[in-house]
Parts: sequence; structure tokens; C-alpha cells
Amino acid sequence: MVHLSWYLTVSAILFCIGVFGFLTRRNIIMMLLSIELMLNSVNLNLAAISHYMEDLRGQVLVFFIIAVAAAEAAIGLGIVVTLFRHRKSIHTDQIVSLKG
Amino acid sequence: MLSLLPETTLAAAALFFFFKNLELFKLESKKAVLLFGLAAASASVIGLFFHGEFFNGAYRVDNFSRFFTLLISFAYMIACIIFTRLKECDQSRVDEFFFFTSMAALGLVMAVGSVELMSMFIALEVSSYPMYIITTFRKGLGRQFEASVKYIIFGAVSTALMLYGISYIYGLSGSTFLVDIASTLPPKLGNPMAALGVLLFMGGLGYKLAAFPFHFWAPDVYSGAASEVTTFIAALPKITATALLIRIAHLFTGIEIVPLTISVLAVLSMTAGNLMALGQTGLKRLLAYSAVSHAGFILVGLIALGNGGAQAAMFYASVYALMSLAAFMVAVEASGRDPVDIPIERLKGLWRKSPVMAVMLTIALASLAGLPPTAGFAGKLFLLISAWKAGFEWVVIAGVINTFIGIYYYLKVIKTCLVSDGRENGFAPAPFYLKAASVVMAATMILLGIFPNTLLDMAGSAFRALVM
Amino acid sequence: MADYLYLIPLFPLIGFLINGLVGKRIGKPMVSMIGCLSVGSAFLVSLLSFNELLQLDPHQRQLVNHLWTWMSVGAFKVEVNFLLDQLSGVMILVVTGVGFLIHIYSTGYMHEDESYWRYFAYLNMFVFFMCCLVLGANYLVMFVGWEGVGLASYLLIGFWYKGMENAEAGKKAFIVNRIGDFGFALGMFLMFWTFGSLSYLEVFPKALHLFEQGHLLLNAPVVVAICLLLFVGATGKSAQIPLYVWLPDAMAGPTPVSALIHAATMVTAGVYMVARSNILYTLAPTASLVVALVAAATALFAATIGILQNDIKKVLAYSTVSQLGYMFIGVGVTAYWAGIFHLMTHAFFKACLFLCSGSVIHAMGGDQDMRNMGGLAKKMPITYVTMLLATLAIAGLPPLAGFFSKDEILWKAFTYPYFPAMGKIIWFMGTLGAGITAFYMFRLIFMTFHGDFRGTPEQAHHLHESPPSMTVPLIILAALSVVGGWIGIPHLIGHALNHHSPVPNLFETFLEPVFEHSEHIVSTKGMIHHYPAWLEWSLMGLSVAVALGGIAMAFHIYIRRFHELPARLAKQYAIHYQLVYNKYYVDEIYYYMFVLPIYYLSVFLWKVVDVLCIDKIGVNGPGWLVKRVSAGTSLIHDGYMQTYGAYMLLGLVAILAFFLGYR
Repeated sequence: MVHLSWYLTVSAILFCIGVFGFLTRRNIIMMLLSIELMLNSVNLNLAAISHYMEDLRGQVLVFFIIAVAAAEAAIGLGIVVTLFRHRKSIHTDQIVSLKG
Repeated sequence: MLSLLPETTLAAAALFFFFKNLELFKLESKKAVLLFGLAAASASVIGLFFHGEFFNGAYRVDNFSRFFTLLISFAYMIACIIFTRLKECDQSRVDEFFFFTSMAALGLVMAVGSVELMSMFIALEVSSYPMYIITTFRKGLGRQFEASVKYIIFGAVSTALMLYGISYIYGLSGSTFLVDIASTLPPKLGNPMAALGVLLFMGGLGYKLAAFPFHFWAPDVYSGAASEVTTFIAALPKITATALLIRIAHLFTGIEIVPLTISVLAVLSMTAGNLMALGQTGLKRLLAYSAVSHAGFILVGLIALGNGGAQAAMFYASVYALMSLAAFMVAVEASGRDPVDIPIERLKGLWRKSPVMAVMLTIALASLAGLPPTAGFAGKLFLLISAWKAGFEWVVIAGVINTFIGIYYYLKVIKTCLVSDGRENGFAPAPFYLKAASVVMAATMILLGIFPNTLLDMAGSAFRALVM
Repeated sequence: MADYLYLIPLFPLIGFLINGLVGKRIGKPMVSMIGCLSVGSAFLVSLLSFNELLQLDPHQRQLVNHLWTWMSVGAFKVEVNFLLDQLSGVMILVVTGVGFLIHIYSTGYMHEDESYWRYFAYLNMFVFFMCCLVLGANYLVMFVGWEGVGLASYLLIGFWYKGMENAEAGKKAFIVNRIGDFGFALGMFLMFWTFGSLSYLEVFPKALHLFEQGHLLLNAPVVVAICLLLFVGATGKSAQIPLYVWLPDAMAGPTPVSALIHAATMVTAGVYMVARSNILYTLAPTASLVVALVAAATALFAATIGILQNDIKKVLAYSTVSQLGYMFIGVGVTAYWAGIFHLMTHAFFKACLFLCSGSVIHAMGGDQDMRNMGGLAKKMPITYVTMLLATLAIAGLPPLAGFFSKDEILWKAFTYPYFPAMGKIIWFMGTLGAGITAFYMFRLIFMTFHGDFRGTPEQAHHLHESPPSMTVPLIILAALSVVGGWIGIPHLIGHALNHHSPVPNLFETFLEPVFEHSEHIVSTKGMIHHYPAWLEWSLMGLSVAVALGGIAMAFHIYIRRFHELPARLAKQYAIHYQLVYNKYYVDEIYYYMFVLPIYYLSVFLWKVVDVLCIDKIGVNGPGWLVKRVSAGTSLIHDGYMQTYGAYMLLGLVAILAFFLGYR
């Protein structure tokens, strides 16, 4: 049996990759993807913990997170699309008019 | 089912506007929104008297949650009054707008009642998504999409961080119910994973409160979104964030490091917010930074929960919501012609054109600045006294210094609206009900400063419900 | 009993609300009626309640009007109470009485202003907050008034907002007062922490009790700290070194405002506060000494600057700063009643002086430069006579009001029981300041009213005496400046006047119950020396002589030699030759000994200390800070999401490190 800490480590690595991607990618879609990665690391965490503790609540939470993440992606992409229509760009370098 | 009346009312409002959007009703939207605002406020008053537990104990209706429900519903009502003006929003999407705001208010109310992390999270998301969407509802080609993107991206990141925290909290305590967490987690706080879990979770709430260093979205979203939208975003989520932070911080009473960390954040937040607000020339941006500073003040209450800090924070959150709604009511009146933010100069001559509005704005800003005898003064005093009693003298000194820095830029705005040099900007005369509302709000801000005890006692009994 | 004390602030509040909300529509006569009537009614109620106070036994003279419990959080309980005792009684009469006169005067002075109603609304608001400040029975209510009068003052300084200078002046007043208020607020917190209350009727007995039980030593650090912090607040509000800078600039506001707020009432709030907290200050002799020394320095310093000002209101402003210094000397050397006495007489003669200057400015069509005036005595006889009387009073000539109060303060400084040696120094500075005061005040009189008119022909044509609404208050105030001091005649003179039944010092006797505990502490802990009567007589004579000397010098320079001097005062060598030519060897000595050093000192203080240090650094500093900070803000908030995200996560990591690292 794989020990819980392995899952948690993998998930932490996934989360860090997500954070790293969020901080370095300039494309908003890629940033959203990085966020998905972070959310999936959470899912991995929850599923592993749930399995380890033999408590189903964690896995139920995973379903919720998947659903919520889907909704978030839908809204996020919708907004990105409208932004793209107006600015012809989804690079964070181009959307810096609100500042100061 | 009277104990779920406030939630039901808000859900009904949301449903109504959803179907209204499909052109099923003929009622005029702006009348309907006023009606629902009033209904929600009355429902929350009735709701005060009914308590209960729902969804296997995940949702608890008690004095604590009903106190905040009351605040959110009244804030929603005032927001609805302001929404009837809709100056910067796309008029063709008015029903959608009302649908989303009702949904967001519902989510905020649900979050306050949740005593389980999962439902708390879902409720918060229910409140967030509509706010991301309405941020784009501005007329013309403003900066609304940029604002919305920034809002949702940082919202999503903070959600991810918060969930990551929840996963650790769940792992260490074996439960998502706050009751269980309260008994199992605090002793483990020396464990870095527990600390990370709690901090990430509170960080997510800090994002909702726009506390330093989670505030970066606020100025951009405030200035990019339509003024009506900003009104909503500035006032309502803060109430819920305060409630949840009190809930969470209360779990860790007696652990020295938690209040200490919060106190550092509180001071940083009020100082950073204030300093950044100093140089602002746009009204909405100024209010955004000042909101950061006020978030710091609300956090002060959390470091002294048992010493009256909780009551003080609750009092301050309610007063802050009121002051911010009042300030934004005027901002909405002044808005409509600027590509991005409302320049403070636009308020010039407000005194002549609309004395009632000018008086209310003056009182609201004086209250935000914490000048006696307004409610803001009483609130700040309570917060600082509780901190002093809890032994955080340095926080008090920082708070007093910050209050005096804050007065500087608030008075600058007051001065602008009392000044007129002949070249005034035409303000459309406000309708009667708006004037009446502003008189009532101005009076409330003064009365809460002179007689703060009623609200404070209510907050006290609400907090006792949490302790028990 | 005294359930009607709340009416005193209520009337001005109603006036403020009516004038502020509908003043624009009801027309000027109605606005002035409401404005004056509200303050007049407040004055009447004050008189009534004062009368009720007099009916009581001297030691029972405390009327408390409980209104409501403002806030109670655990042990922190603040009630909104009004307290009328001898001290607040005197203050409230001064505030509402002088306030009433100035409201009447304003109806004449402001009658052409387009924002007439706004002016009266602000003025009523000021009176309301001032009444709260004076009547409040605890420090928090006082603080409410304290902040409120600051706001009113800020609004009124910037009343004519079209001039940029006015806005700057308002800003300056504002920033400086915030520094003071910061000290005041911290002092309150410390007081609450120490004594568990903010109410006068609880804090003072408790402090006294702790002291008598030996739990609180004389000069206990915490009490000294409280007193010093409160005094920081007082230096802001009452324009003492180093926070006095806003007051001269505050003259940008309308002249009646200068008279009411920046001379007679608001700026004396600090003195009132110290006198009110007399027990604390008596228990903290070090703090008292600081008060007295700062005050003496201010009294001399501001008087010196006053010599060179050419703006008639600026002269009066510096003179106000200087006179406030005398009041603080009084309360600093534990002669609380003398400080309050000078506060009262000063309210009369300084309000009179300001209103007279307003009358002059009115006649001059807004010109405030004394170099353009001259010979106005013939055109404006009432203004001249009233101003002359008030000037004689401020110069400290017997038997006018200023003599009794100022002399009492100087005598008390000379006999300072806690620090006798320091007392002598303070006395010397005060006496010197008195001479300078006489000099520059008579310089003002001579330059304004004597000699030939130096303005433009239009101005000369326009010169006229002011309307009765303006002159009647002048006459009343001038009369008070003459007789106001007679209620506080020193025992020495009282005995001399009538050996068998000495003329009593009514004022001291009246206020005694408020200060008796302090006096008791001073008499047991201080070093009371008994000074012979001839010493007091000679000091009295000396101060009169100094005042006369100042007047004589002013007369000499500005009347007899005026045509030679203005241009050449700056070129002192020319004066030197002139003097030798005229064989005024005495003058030469005078010049080298007094005039030139003081002239240079004055230039130095004004140009270097005042303008350079305090203006540039103290007031423009915040502006610089704002620029820096907003540059920093736009650096952090540069619009890039990556930047935001990086700061956010960095912050999170820092918090985590703090959280885990702390142990």
C-alpha cells in the first residue's frame, strides 16, 4: 500500500507547479489552467486523505470541487473571450490599463 | 420554515429575475428590485426570531448567523435602492443584473450560516461567481473586462489556496464540521501542515475582505467595474468575510500566535491601505484603498475576540457596510461619464446641486475617517479599546496614527464636494426616495455614533451564540 | 436639577441644522436671525444655569445633566453627561457670550457675502461643538467637541475657498492639529488604562485617592506621560511651540472667525483642558514645568515675531499665540485660576481687537497691510477708541483687565512653588514678552490710526465708520476689556484700596473649590516661600514700567520718527548715522541694546524657524510624503497580474514564516 505521505507530496508538487505556472505564464488561459492544476492537487489530497481515513466525506468534497471548478472555468473562459474580442489579446502584458 | 425565510426570500428574488429575464412577467424591473429589497430586509428581521439546524447540522440558524443575515439583507436593500439608478450598467441586461446580485446576496447569507467547511465553500462560490459576471456589465468599452479578469483570476487562485488549506484541515482533524475541528485542530497548530491549512483558509477569507496582502484585486476591480457593481462588491462580501473570520478565529482562542499574526496583518493592512489612498485622484480607487485600511481595522477586532473585540468587529463591519454604501450611493449619482474611475473633482459643486447628497457624503466620509460623533468613531474606539485590553498597545497606537492619516484624504474629498467655483458638473436631481434613503442613512450613521449600544448589544448576544 | 443643560448646545445645533439645510432658501435676514438667536438663547440658558449654580453652596456647585449612556463595552463605560461647575460655568459664559456678540457683528461684516448662510451654519456648528467641549463631563465628550471645533475651524479658514492660499492655510491647520489630536487620543487611552475611566468625576477623585493612599507618587511616570500627551493635544489646539504655526495662517478666514475661534474660544480649549485636569498636572510637577517652559518660550517667541508683521491680522495672530503662552504659564505654574482669568480677559480684549481690525479692514476695502493705513482715527472714532482701550488692556496697564490677569500670572510664575528657580526665569521671559507686546501693539495702533493716510485715493474715499451691528459689539467688548479685570483684583491691591474691608478677589474665590485639592497638594509638596509685599509691589511696578517703556518706544519710532524709519529700519546703519546726527545717544543705546538684537531675532525666528523649518518640513513634508507614497503605490500596483500574484504569495509565505517562526 502506498503511504499517504506520497500522495500528499505528489499533490504538493502539483500545487507548486500550479502556483509556478500562475506566476510565470502570461497567457490568461494558461493561468486558468494553472489554477485548475492547483484545484486538482486539492482533489488528490482530499481523495487520498479520504481513502486513508476511510471517511467518504473527502471524496464527496472532490465532486463538489470538480463541479465548481467547471463552473469557474466556464465563467473565466467566457470573460476571457469577451476580453479577447475587445483587446485582441489575452496577454497579461497587454491588460495593464487599471493600475496605480 | 420561517427560520429559512431570509434565504427563501433572496432565492425567490433570484428566481423571479431569472424568469423575468425570459420575459414571463410584466412588472417593471426597477420596481420589483425595490420590492424584493424591502422583502429581504423584512424577512431578515422576522428571521431574527427563528432558529434551527439544517442539512445534517451543516447549516445553523442562530443569533450569530442571523445577525449577519440581517446586515447582509439590509445592505442588499440599500444596494437595491441604489440599483434603481443604474447609470453605468447596460440597461438591456438589467434583469440579469438583478438576478446575479440576488444570487450573490443569497450565497453570502448561506456562507454566514454554514458551520461546515464544504457548505461554507460552496456558498462562497455561489456568491462569487455572480460578482465576477456583473463586473462585466458596464456600458460601452470601459475597462470592465480587464477588471473582471483580474477579479476572477485572483478569486480562483484564492479559492484554490483556500481549498488546499481545507484539505489539510480535513486531513488533520478528520472532519469538516467546525465543531469537530474546534476540538481536534488547535492543539496541532504547531504542526506546519496545520498552520499552513489554517493560514491558507484564512487567506482566502482575507481575499474576500480585501485585507493586505490579498487586496490587489480590489483597486482595479473597484475602478474598472460599473459604479453600481462596485457598490455591491464593496459592501456585502465584507460582512460575510467578517462573520467567517470571527468563526474561524474563534476556534483558536487561547493560542497566542493566531491573534499575534492577525495583529501584524491588521496593522500592515490599515497602514498600507491608508498610505496608498493618500495619493489617489479617483474616487472609487480611493475608496478601494480605504477599504483595505478598514479591513485592517476589522481584523483588529479578531485579535481580542474575548475582550469585546468580536462585538467591536461586528459593529464595525455593519457600520462600514453602511458608510461604504452611502459613499457609493453618491458615487453612482456622480458617475456615468467617465471612461474608468470617477475623478474626485467631479464632486465639485455637489453641495449646491444636491445638498442632501452632499450632507450624506460628508457624514459618511467623516464616519469613515472616524471623526466623532459618527458611528465610525464609535466603531474604531471599540476596536482599539478591545485591542488595548487584550494587551496589544502597539496596535492601538498604529490604529490611532492611521486614523489621523485617514482623516487627511477623506477631508480632501469632503472639501471638494463643499467647494464650488462656478464651473460645476451637472448632477441630475435625485428622485425623492433616494433623498429619503440618504437622509435615513445619514441619520443612522450619526445615531449609531451617539447611541451605539443597541447594535453593540445585538452583536454581543450574537457572539454569545457562537461561544455556546 | 439642571436638567436643561443640554439646551445650551442644542440651540446652536438647531441653528446649524436650519441654516445648513435650508439656509439658502430662507434669505439673509432669516439666516442671521436664526444664527444669532440660537447662540443668544444658548447664552441665556447659560446665564440661567450659572445663576442656579450661584444659588448653591460653593462646595456643592456641580450641576450634572445625565443624557444617556453613550457606550458600554465591559468595563469601558462612557456616559454623555454635561457638567456645569465654576470652571465650565466661566468658560460657557465666555463662549456663548462672546460668541453671541460675534454673531451679531458677523451680520454686518458678512452681509455682502454670497455664502452668507453657509458661514452662519459653520459658525453655529462651531458654537455647538465648543459647548460640548466645555460642558462635557468626561474626556471623550470633550474629545468630540475638540475634533468638532477643529472641523469647524478647518471649514471656516477655507471659507473663501477661491484663494489657493486659504486652502493651504486650512490644510496646514488641519495637519498640525492632527498631530496634536494624536497625542490627546493616546493620552486618553493611557488615562483609561490607568484610572479605568474617562469621567472627570471619577478620574480626579481616584487619582487623588491613590495619591493620598500612597499608591501613586508625586511625579509618577504614568501621570506625567498622560499629562504630557494631553499637552501635546493642547499645543496643537492652542498654538504653542512647536505646533503654533497654523494659527497665523488661519487668519485667511473671515475676521469674525479669527476673533471667535482663533482668539477668544477654540484656541483656549487647551488651557481649559489643562485647568480641568489640574489635579493630574499638580500630581505631575515635571509635566507642569514642561507646560510652563513651553508656554514661556511661546509667549516670548511669538511676541518677538509680532514686531515685524505688517499684516494687521498677522500681528494680532502672533499676539494671540503669545497671550496663549501667558495662559499656559498660569496653568503650568499651578496658578490655574490665574490662567483661566487671563483666558477670560483675553477673550474680551482680543475679540475686541480682532473685531476692530475687521472694522478697519472693512473700511479699507479688504486691505490688511498696515503700511497702507494711517490716520484712521479721525474717520473711525468708535473703532479707534475701542481698539485703543483693548490695546491698553493687552499691554497690561492698570486698571484695565489685562493688567490684573497678566500680572497675577507673572507673580505666580515668580513664586512657582515646585521649581522656584525656573519660576524666576519664566517670570523674566514673561515680563520681557509683556514689554514687547506693548511695543508691537502700539506699533499697530500708531501705524493704523495715527499719522497720515498712506493708501490709495479710492480707499481714502471709501473710509467710513462701520454700521452699528459692528460697533455695538465693539463697545461692549471694549467695556468688558476695561472692567473685566476688576473681579480678580489681587489681595495686595485689595488691601491697599480699603484696609478695613479689603476688596475681595471674587474670581479666585469663585473658582477655588475646583482647584482646592490641587492647592492643597501644592502647599504640602511644593516649596512655599513667603515673599514680602514690597516685592510684589515692585514687580507689579516693574511690569507696568516695562509696558510703558514698550509704548514709549513704539511712540518714539512710529510717531516721532516715522517718516524716516520704515524704509530704513532694514538698513540699520543708516539709522545709526541718523541717530548720531540727531544726537539721540540714548536712542543709539536703545537700538543697539534692544531694537537691533530683537529685530534680528525676529527676522531669524520668522524667516528661519517659522517659514523654513516648520513650513517647509512640517507642512510641506506630508505633501512630499504623499508624492513618494503614490509613486510607490503605482510601482506595486502596476496592473500586471503576475506582480499582484507574486506579492500575494510572497505575503502568504511571509505570514507562514512568521507564524511558524514565532515560538
